[in-house]
Amino acid sequence: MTATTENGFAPTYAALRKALPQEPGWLSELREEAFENFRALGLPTVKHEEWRWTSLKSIAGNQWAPAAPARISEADLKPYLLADDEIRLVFVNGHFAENLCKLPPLPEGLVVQPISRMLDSEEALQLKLGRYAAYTSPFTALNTALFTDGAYIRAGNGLALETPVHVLYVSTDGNGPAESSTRTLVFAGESVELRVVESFVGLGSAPRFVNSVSEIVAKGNAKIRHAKLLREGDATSHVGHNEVHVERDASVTSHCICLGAGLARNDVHAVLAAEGAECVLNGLVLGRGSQHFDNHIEVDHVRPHGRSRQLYRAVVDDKSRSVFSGKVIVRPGANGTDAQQQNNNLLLSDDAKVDTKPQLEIYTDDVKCSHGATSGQLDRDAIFFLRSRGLNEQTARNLLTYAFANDVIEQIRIEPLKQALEAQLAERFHGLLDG
Amino acid sequence: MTTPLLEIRDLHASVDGTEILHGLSLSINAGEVHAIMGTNGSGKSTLTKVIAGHPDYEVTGGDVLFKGRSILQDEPEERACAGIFLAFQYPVEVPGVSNLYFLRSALNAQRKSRGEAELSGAEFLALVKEKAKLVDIDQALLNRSVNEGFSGGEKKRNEIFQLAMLAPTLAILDETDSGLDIDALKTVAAGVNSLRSPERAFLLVTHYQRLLNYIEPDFVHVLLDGRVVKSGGKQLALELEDKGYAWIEEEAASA
Amino acid sequence: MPDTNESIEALAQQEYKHGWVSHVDADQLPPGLNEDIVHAISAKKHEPEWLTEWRLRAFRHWLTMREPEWQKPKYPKIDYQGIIYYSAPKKKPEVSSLDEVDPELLETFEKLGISLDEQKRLSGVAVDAVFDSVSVKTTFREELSKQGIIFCSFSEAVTDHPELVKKYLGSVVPYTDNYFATLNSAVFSDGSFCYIPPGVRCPMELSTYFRINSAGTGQFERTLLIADEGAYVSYLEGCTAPQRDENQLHAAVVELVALKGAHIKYSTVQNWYPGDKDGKGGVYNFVTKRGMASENAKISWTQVETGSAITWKYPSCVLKGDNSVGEFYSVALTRDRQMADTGTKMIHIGKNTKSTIVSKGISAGHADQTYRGLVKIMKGATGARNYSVCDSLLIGGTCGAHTTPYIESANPTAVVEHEASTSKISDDQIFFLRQRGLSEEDAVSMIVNGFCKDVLSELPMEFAVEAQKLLGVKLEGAVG
Repeated sequence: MTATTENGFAPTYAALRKALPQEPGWLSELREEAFENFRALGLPTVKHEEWRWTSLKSIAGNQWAPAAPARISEADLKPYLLADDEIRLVFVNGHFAENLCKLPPLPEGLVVQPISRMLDSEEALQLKLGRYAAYTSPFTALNTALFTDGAYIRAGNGLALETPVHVLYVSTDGNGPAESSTRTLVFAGESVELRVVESFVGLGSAPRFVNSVSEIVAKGNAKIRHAKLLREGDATSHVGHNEVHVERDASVTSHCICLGAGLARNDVHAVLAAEGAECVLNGLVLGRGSQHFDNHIEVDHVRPHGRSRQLYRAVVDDKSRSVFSGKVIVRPGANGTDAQQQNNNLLLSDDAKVDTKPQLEIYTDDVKCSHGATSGQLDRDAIFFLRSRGLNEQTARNLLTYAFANDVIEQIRIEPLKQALEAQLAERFHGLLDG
Repeated sequence: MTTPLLEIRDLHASVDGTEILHGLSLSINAGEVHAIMGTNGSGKSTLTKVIAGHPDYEVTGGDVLFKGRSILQDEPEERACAGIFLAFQYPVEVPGVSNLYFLRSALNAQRKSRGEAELSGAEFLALVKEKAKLVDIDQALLNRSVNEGFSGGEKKRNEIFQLAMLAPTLAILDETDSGLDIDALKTVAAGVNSLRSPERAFLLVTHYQRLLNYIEPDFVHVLLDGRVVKSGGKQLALELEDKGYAWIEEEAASA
Repeated sequence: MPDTNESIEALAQQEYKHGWVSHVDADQLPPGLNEDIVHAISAKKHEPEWLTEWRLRAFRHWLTMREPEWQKPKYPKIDYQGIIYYSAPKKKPEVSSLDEVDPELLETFEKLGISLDEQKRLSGVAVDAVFDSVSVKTTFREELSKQGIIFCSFSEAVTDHPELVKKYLGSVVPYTDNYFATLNSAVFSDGSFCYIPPGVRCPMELSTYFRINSAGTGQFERTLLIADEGAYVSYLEGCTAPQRDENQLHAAVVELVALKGAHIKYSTVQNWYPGDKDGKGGVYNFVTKRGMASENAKISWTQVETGSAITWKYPSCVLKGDNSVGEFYSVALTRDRQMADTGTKMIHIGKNTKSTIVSKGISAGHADQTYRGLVKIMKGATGARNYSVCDSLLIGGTCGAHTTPYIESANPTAVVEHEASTSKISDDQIFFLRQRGLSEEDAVSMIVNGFCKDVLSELPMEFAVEAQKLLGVKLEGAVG
């Protein structure tokens, strides 16, 4: 960690504080404290064990101005929408874009609003913001200091909602390097069923630094299906933290689908905080060009009879690179824990690279834990089999790659998203079937 | 009057705080073959585990005497060394430990406890050869890890092989016949029959009358709700085959 | 070879049986570390100038380094100025026959179970024994030399075979490698040296025993083993130390050089003093072991780690030549307050290189154990293949087991597979074995040995039996 990097953000912070409207005192204090933390921590370097495979030069090397509000049209957004009937919140360059939102009359007990509108009125916001995502890590601290807006989603006890809430964070093109930080809060009360998709979309080619933090809380028996979809531009460095808190008998499924960004680092930290809590954290990386995706997962089994599953797959082509680090911690007393972790990597080109570090950290004996990791090419026998049935080699390869990636997509329980991704996958790896 | 080999007096036992055996009594003399039948949940398996001393089962009343002495305070291995053998309903796998190595350790532990000399490698192998024939067990299985990768039939055969090797005075077979095809059943039964002797008693726990066509019991007991509700000769087993358990349940209810 | 077992038997005795102190007069340097001490060590050993210079370069580099702290086991700061860096038995044993060795020293080895006499007569295992810092006695040297095999203490090698030492010292583990290896390079006092000429298959197991005796000493031995083209050697290493309240530092370096088509099998049974039940005392075993494999060469590490307060080491293979093979088989057992952070590194550089990793960890009591392994596939390692399996067995609810494999793959044709599981001994297994007449402890020991079988079967026969007994003894009282 160096002293110079935080200075890079001092002007950003100062500019942002000037630009932001009048805020409640508690928020100003929170920002101050968080920025102090960031100042003390600095940006991590590859010497830091958790960053050994991901260099932050693209972030440290630029002077970032806060991204300015911009207007985009509905047509610009069209390719990134999931379904007509989705509940939609849109933020452009970190600022609420009301004209692009879709907020039909919501069922009772459901609140979907930009955070900026909740600051004074909402009783709970003050308590919840930053309560789960500790701002003790550099980027979470930086986000807490710099965030401009984000989604606030709250479902009251017993509500079951099939329709997904789709939050789009869009970055537009611009002149110089610009930064935007956003925050998402998802709060499901007892026995709630809720589906939330966060889309990160880049519309331009200018350098962008996007820093996002999500806090996802499932109270007793609640079920949250969450997905994060990355379609940032090639010049974008995206750093995201997803904090998941699961209470008794509740279940959170979160998929992280990485399709676009120059550099993207996603951290997921899930705490199974009560008995019978469950989380399924899956991810898919489709890398090409010189994209670099880094997924860091940590599942913390604190109480007995928790269950966790991780399936992360990466397909890397060209000069792209995928990093996976997954950790399962089983605390003393978390008996009956059942944890599985899988990371599979497919390298399609000579210059692609994968680094993986699946980890188990176990402090009690009554557990069933396993992990596995593989890295390699497509199975030659399978290719041969398909060719012997009449497919040409390229088609055989595409078919197998499609199947490899689709295992992750198939597990998504948000129908419109699953369909959209399957179509996209088919186009990318399946399209040559006719040719 | 001679002392029974095994005498169970008004036995109450529970697992995880739930009482399964509610005052079970049974007496077995040396040389006899007893069959215990009953529906699922009647307490058959519990009875075998209590006799063998499984730590999960708690005896809350009554007594179990073996050769006239209470064994309830004895550790499982002490009961084994005293001559009680349990063939498991679900034979356990022990990865990496060869069948023969395990058996030799067990046999020598038992011999040592009885003050007998341990068997040398050659003596042991001679015994293995003799007993393997009895149960028609494949020599290759003997060198594999205990039950690892064995088929269901092979596992059960392996239990009978251990029985032959360890030569107990009381052999308890917990549903050894379950899941066996007719050929395997015949082999297992032949093995058991060849081991019958005036000094040795068998307690067969089974769900199906079929086993008793091949191993003829001296006594049949019906277990219901943790108690022996009816005892008789092998005729009783045939009657159960014909009529099921309902009539016994009615009889027991009206009694 | 049942007789051999007897002679190594003491390694497997109950509790920690090696906790006695020998009263052999020691020739010691004062505690502390500076250039004068480095000079003094070198002078005591009548070393040539190039080696003194090499040590000094290492020492100067060491001063610029920081003690690493990324590992899982944490320990109180080591006072490097409080350690005695050179301690030798005073009667320097320049002897040609065992009759001339200090009788008390011989007795020490008798207690250790490596009666050199016995060894010489019965076992056919050639032994080099390192006592504190100095190599004492090498058996079977004459017979080995007939085939051109050199097996001697490191100091002797410096005098008698300087060209070999100069060529290979630091060629696998450079003096800049890591904090403890660099320290070792500056102050190493002795160790074993072995050279197998081209095409020679070493006819017997070569063996070294290490023992720390004097209080406050660190042990910094250095082993250099070279198998020339097409040669084969199997090498065993055993370790003990007396019980002392303070922690003793053991920072050894082992370098293996397997030239074209050579095969080196290196086995370790490590039983340094682990400290008492509450974690007082015990050896810090911070060791750097690495082998370099040329074309078609093969290096196999097999280790059974039961001792030390902290074990921190990663025997590694640099698979430089095409078609070279690396293997790592490890059993680590930790109990009470022991900690272990161990594993391996497999660096695939050549084409069609293969590596296999089998790691079995057993934790009991309050022990904490980490498997940490790196599989690195370099860009040119076309057709490389790795398979890793690491399983942990937990005994009791207060221990910890952690698995941290690192996989870095930069070649699309490489296939890397890693599997791991963590489980406990099942109650059903224990009940089954007890029902057949085994005591609970024997049952656990049998299950554990079964769990470790894939690794134990890689050890030379006589060591495998002892390792099994050692595991059984170490588990006593750990269950229940």
